[in-house]
Formats: sequence, C-alpha cells, structure tokens
Amino acid sequence: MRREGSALAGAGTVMMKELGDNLSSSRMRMLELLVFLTGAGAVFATIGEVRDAVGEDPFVFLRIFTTAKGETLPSFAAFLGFLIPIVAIALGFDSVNSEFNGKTMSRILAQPIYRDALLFGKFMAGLTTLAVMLSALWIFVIGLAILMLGLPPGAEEVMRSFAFLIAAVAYGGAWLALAMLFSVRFRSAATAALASLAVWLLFAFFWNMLVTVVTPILAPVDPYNPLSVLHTVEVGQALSRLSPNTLFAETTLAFLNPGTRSLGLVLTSQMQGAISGPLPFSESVALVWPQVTGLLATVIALFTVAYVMFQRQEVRA
Amino acid sequence: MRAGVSALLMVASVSLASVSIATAKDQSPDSVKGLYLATDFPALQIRAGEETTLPLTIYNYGLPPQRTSIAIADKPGDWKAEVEGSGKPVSAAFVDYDGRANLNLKLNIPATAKPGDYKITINANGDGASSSLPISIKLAEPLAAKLSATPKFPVLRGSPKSSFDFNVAVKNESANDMTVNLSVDAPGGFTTTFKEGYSTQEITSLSIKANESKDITVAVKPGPRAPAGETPISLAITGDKASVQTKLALDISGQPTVTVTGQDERLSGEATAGQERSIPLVVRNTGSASARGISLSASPPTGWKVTFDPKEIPEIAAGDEQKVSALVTPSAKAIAGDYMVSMRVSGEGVSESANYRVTVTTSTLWGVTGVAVIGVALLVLMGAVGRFGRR
Repeated sequence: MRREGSALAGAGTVMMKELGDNLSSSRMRMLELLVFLTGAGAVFATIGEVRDAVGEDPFVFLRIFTTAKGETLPSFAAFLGFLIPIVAIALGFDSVNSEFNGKTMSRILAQPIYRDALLFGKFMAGLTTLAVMLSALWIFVIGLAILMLGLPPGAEEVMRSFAFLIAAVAYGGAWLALAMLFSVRFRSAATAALASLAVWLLFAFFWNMLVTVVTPILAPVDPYNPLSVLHTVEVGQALSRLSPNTLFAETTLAFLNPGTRSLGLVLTSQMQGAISGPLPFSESVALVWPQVTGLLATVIALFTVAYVMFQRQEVRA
Repeated sequence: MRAGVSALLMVASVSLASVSIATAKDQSPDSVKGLYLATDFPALQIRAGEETTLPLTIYNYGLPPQRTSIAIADKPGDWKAEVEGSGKPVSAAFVDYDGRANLNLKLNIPATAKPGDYKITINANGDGASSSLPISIKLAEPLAAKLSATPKFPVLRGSPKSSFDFNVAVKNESANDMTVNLSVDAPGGFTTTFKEGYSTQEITSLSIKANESKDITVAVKPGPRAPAGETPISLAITGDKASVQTKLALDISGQPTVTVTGQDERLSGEATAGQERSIPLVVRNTGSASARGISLSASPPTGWKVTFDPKEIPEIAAGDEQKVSALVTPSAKAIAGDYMVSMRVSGEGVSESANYRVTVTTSTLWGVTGVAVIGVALLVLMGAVGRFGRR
C-alpha cells in the first residue's frame, strides 16, 4: 500500500523522543565524559607550546586544535578523529534492533507515524546528539583557549574552526549511518556493534597498510618510466581516500592549517615561484571541498541503504 | 729749509751709492762734517689704516764717536710713531766716527685719519751736533676692502647623480687679512660642500691674507630629481668688509628613472588557475629626462603565460606615467595560494623590476561537481523514499 503525505510527518516527534533518550542515557554520559576529558587533556597539554608561538603565527587559535604534545599525546583534532566514530557507533548500533528485541517496534509503528519517519527521526536524533556534543566541546575548547592565552580568536580563526566542527559532525554522521545500517541489518545488537567496530578498526588502523599492499599490485612502478611513479602515488591516494578517516584528516588539515595549499602530490614545477603563506578561507574550502562532499555523500548513501533495508523488513507484532 | 735738507740728503745717498761698502764705516768726504739723520724717501704717500716702516740712518762724518738721542719732535696727534733699532723701541743710538746707525721709524696711522698732507719731524741730538729730519706724508684715501672670485670653469656638465666640483680662486684684494664665509644659493634638494684646494676637510669659512689668493672647491650635488638643463647657482663669499658673488652654472644632462608598480601602488592580485587575468600596472618615469624604447617583460613560474598590452612603450616623458595591462594566465596546474611574478621594465639605460604577488584561486568547477554528487545522493534517497514508502 502506498504512503500518503510526507515521509517526514511524525519524524520530529520521534526525533525529540530519541534525543531525550540519547542525552539522558548513562551510556551517552559516559561517552561525553570520556570525550571531554580527553579533549580537555589534549588542550591543556598543548597550550603551553601554543602560548610560546603567540605572535609568530597569525592563527594561534587553530594551533590549539592541531598541536601535538611531543610523540606521546596526539593533538585535539587527532583525538576527535579517533573518538567521534566510537561515539557515533555507540549512538547507532542498537537504535533499530533494540526496538525489535524489546518487542516495541510494532507498538511504535502502531502510532500514527510512517515507518520512514521512525528511521529519519532516529537518525536525526543521533546526528543532533553528536552535533550538540561536538559544539559544546568546541565552545569549551575555545573558551579554555581564550582563558589560557588571553586573546580572542580572529574572525577567520572562528570561521575555520567552525568549518572544522561541521566537518566533524559530517564525519560522525557517516559512522552513525553505518552503525544504523548494521543495526537494521543485524537483529543482535552485539553483532551490529562488533560489525561497526570492525569497520572502524579497518579504516582507523589497517586501511593504510592495505593501501600500501594493494597499490603496487594495482599500479606497479615501472622503473623505466618515471611517470608511473606518479600514477602509483595517485592510485594509492585515491584508495586511501575511500576511508572516511583519511577524508576527515585531510579536511582537518586544510581547515586548521591555513598554510596547506595542496592535499595531493605537488610537482616542483608547480611550486616554482610560490610563496608560502596562508590561503584565504574560501580557497581552503575549495581545496577540501571534494573531501567534505565525499563525507556528506557517504552519509546520505549509507542512510539510503539503511532506509531501503529497513523499509523492506517485515515487522510483526 | 726743507729743500735744503733734501738736497743734502740726496748728496748723502749719492755718496752712499757711490761709496758702497759692507762695513758701517763710511769714508767721509773731507768737506762734509757733522751728524746727519736721513731716510731714503722723505716724502711719501701712504694710506690711512696702514702700518708703514721707514728706514732711518744716522751718519757721523768726522765727529768723534758719540751717543745720539733720537726723538720724534712733531707728529699728528693720533698717529702712533716709534723709532726702533734691531726690533726694539729705542730713544738713542751710538754712532761711531765716520760710522752710522740704522733705525726704523714705525708709523701706525689710524684708519680714521683724514686724507691730506702731514708732517713728521725727527730730531737727532749728539754731542754738539744735531740733525733734524722732516718727513712729509701725503695721506691717501684708505683702500677699499675688496674680494674677487674667479672660477676656473664657471659651467660644468654632468648627470643628476654626479658631483659638480667648481674650482674658484678667491683673492683678498684689500690691505688687511680677512676671514670670509662661503655660501651657495642653489635650488632646493641640491647639496653643497666647500673644500680648500685639494684637502678633504669640509669648510664653511676661511681666512685669506691681504693680497693673497686661495683656491676653494665648491662641490654641488643636484638631487636625482633635478630637472635637466642649465641650473644657475650663485656662490657668495662674504667677509666683514667686503663680499663678492660669482655665478656658476650646472649643465645637468637629464636621466630617466622608470618604476613599475600596480595601480594604486598595489602589488598583489588574484588570478584563477588556467584563466587569463588582466592586471593593471603603471610604468612611471620619475627621472628628469624622457625614457625611450621601454619594453616590458615578466619572469613567471613555469607553465604561466604573461603578456603585456602594450608590449612596448616608445617614450614616457619625464614625470609622466603610462598604464599597462599585464595579462597573466597562471598554469592550469598551479595550486591555490600565492605566487611571485617578477615584472620588469627596461628601456635605454634604465631597468626596473617589481615583484607582483598573484594569489591563485582554483576553479569552482569541482565545487559544483561536489554539490552534484550530494544532489545525486539525495535524489537516490528520495527515490528510495518514493519507491519503498509504506503505510
């Protein structure tokens, strides 16, 4: 039977309910505490080094996000790249299958809402939770930096770090969509969680190794043709960009390090006559636009797959 | 009476000349006996304000050696007169038998003394013999203090950057030493230094002895913006009583100086990778002569194309400027950010370059593609919603 009216009718109600559940659940509290502590720790650790650089760098505030404390402590941005997927997976891995397991799905769908609205609402709620958490963290870090550095951020610094925040939400959205996809696919929440974590592990730790192994097979280096080296590097880069982690890392680099002029291979002929200097914000956006759109498209594509899968499932009382 | 004494003295001097001997002993002619006070020129003309020394001689012919006292019997009241012997003021001399004593009469006539005829009488009194020497002095007008300056070459030629060294001989044509100040009246921006002769020390004044001449070097440096052509300057030499001015001239040959800069002095601009962009430039001639045969060139990074419109400028008059467009096409592979492009103008004898900072922006084509990708993803989602929408 065809649906009548908007697919989103009732999605708002579901979203508000889910949001309330998310924000008040002890699981989220634990995760938020974890993220805040690591974030604050990273900022506290690096702020001494950043303070030394005040006056040398026109973008001192952005350094708070990117400066790593020696070898031991990664930068705040690197921490986020690591932690956001975990939070997103935690938000999404049991969102659908827990309704089945708790036998509440039929009850929800007995309400005057469409099935579409349920998935949309759940996804929107998860994304909003992520956005709220990351925004709070962002404001917290900036406030901490103002307090400890004693100077306000410039307009471009705010714009750049805000763009970074948006990219972080999009990155989290991709992992949330993946976790929801698995929660639709697997009836067992544990399976969904493990599958999500497996994918996360693959991209976070093993993808680069895989790329280095696979690239020479796909594009072998011809020792007599120097251009083949270029080709190999390009293939390797394209492969590594299949990982959302790579996309997020490159986005971070372009937004938070204004001196980044290129994310790919740069030939010496391209660098001839070039002067190092910060790129205008619009150019940084242009530079990293493919990565950002890639992330957003991944979110939509994964959600679409999850949606189709969910819509085709049978729901019994 | 005066004529008689003069005649006598004439005889004495003739006898001196004819019987010239190295010793102070004179063989007296037998007919002449007595004490004589004499001077070479008993009538003379001098100027007020001058110091004069007259030689006096006392002759003793045929008298025993004796002390002779000398006194100035008559002189104008405010004149200073003094008899000196061997450089010291004396009032008596000892004259040997048939001998003589040489003395000097030092006259100091105040500058205020009026011209006219004056008389000085000097008496020599010996032992029973005496002689009186009247000297008549005609006082002339005091000599006007005068300076003269003679440049060796009054007109010199050179470029605005060179130094014009004028050699000027300054002569003090007055009776007294003089300290003179040197100054030059030159157009603004010119720097002037004075040196004496070939010494390296810079001076502003120098002292010149009476009737002496000194060489000074007047070095004039016109500013780089000095207009071409002949520029007259005037050298003034000023003493306390006299001054002189002399005209000098600098024949400055013009020199063009070109600069290249962006419009409103801006040396940065934007260009999109792979697309031609017109950058307005201004070529300015700040020199003093027109610049000719100016061509423009650029040294851009590899893969870039830079052409100029117009490519060549036949002439820019001094102080004029010419607008030029640089058509810059960054390489299609240029990465976003700043590049340095060196723009160079060169003409006859002039060359100047400016570094222009081009901020390369990348094409927004990929941005549109990215939006299209998201649009396709959304369309797929909407299609799925439409296809799988259920009650």
